[in-house]
Amino acid sequence: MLGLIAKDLICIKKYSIKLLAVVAIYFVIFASSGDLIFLSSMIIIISTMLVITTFSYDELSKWDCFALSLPVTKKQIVLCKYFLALIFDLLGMLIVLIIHLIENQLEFEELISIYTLGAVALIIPAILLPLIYKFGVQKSRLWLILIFLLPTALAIIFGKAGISLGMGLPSESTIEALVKASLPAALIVFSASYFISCRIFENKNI
Amino acid sequence: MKNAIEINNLCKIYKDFQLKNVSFNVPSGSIVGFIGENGAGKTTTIKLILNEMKRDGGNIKIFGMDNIKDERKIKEQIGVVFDESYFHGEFKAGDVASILKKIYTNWDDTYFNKKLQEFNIPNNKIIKEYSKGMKMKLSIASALAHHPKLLILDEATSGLDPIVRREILDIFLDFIQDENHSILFSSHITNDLEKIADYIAFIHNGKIVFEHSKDELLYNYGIIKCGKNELSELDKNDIIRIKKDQLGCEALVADKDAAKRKYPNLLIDSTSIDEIMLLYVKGEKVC
Repeated sequence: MLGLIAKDLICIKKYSIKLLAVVAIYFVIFASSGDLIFLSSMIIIISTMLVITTFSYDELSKWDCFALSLPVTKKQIVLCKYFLALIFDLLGMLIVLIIHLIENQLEFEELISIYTLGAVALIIPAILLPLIYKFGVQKSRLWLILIFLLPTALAIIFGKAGISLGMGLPSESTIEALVKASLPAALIVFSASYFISCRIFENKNI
Repeated sequence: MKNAIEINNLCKIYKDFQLKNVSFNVPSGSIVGFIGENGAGKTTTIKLILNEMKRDGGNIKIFGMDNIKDERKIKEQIGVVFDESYFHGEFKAGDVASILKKIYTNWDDTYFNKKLQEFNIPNNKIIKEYSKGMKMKLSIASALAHHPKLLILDEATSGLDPIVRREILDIFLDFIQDENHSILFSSHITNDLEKIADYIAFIHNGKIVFEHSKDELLYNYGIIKCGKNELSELDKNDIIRIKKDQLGCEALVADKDAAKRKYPNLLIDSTSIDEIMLLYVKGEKVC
């Protein structure tokens, strides 16, 4: 399992350095404006998405076929990807935390937003990973667009048609509850997603 | 242990292809050449041996252990080389070692580096810049560095020039010097197998056609070459397969010497694995 993680880290080493450079440039741009929310979201989402990049590299070199000739199980291969998604998410949160510290903007409100962002970002791999195991990286990107566009499109259509979904602005206590529940909920979805991926991968003809 | 690999009635059903009751063995201390045309089921069989996908029937024993129940224990003792390098192009040989040493409990770094030197594989180049021969040699070095007892090779010499192929065959011959070592070598380059294999297992349309000793095939099998009018002289029981074309007929027989005694007036040639394979695939049964 450590070998599999090492392989992914070596794979994305160069790519991550480039990404860090881009983040540094954006940091300079956004820090001067004082608005760190966009930058924070971007960093956390991009870092969580790094795990998707490892799948592209795997597909390119047909890694799975080789990996399964090694003394590792299919479950371990899947577990490695979920572990990395979690680590990258935490890493993204850490970078955002450091940026806020540098900018001297770390108050309770910012901590809450980093916490919520980290939780929400976990949902992306939780949805995408089973799709990747089922359909491969290329087709899954289309699925991702569909998954995110569909609710938005439906909301717009319903809105235009004048259908009220009974969703006004939520009250403060609802928001507070949602924020509190975001990480445990995301972790539950993330774990369920792991078991689904395992099942798909175990039945897959490599 | 008698057999390194024992495959019994292995089945796999796809929409457009079926592996049907495949059974053959890889005896310990031997090289078994696994031949068949493209799409005959060689890679599917190998993937099932490695438990890379679910089988629909049969069982596989490796070193006497079940290939699914004892998968990790077995894979610690197997080295696999595919038809291309499956390492990412940006990796260097050292990266491969640093990954695999965390996976195999008995990974031998010194041995790996020794093999790299022997094979002239540079440590500072990325794999993308390797020639195909270098990539294969790296795959072989990494398949050998945990001191496996069994090598599984899936078209490991295809696409290589004759010189590199010969070098690679020598590596395999060197590996088999230890009598506890065995090799399953899938290939459609039958020429390579004629050089190193002890047994040949032939798969066609998802079914094993035969498993024989290579010497028996090369020294006992023969081809009777005759005109269409001489065909009636032949005893149907002697003929395994027959192929007719405009120039005449070619009939495959299992005992060349007996055929020579029986048909002294006919031309009976020695044969090659290529010709045997061709006659089995393109020829017809007489009885």
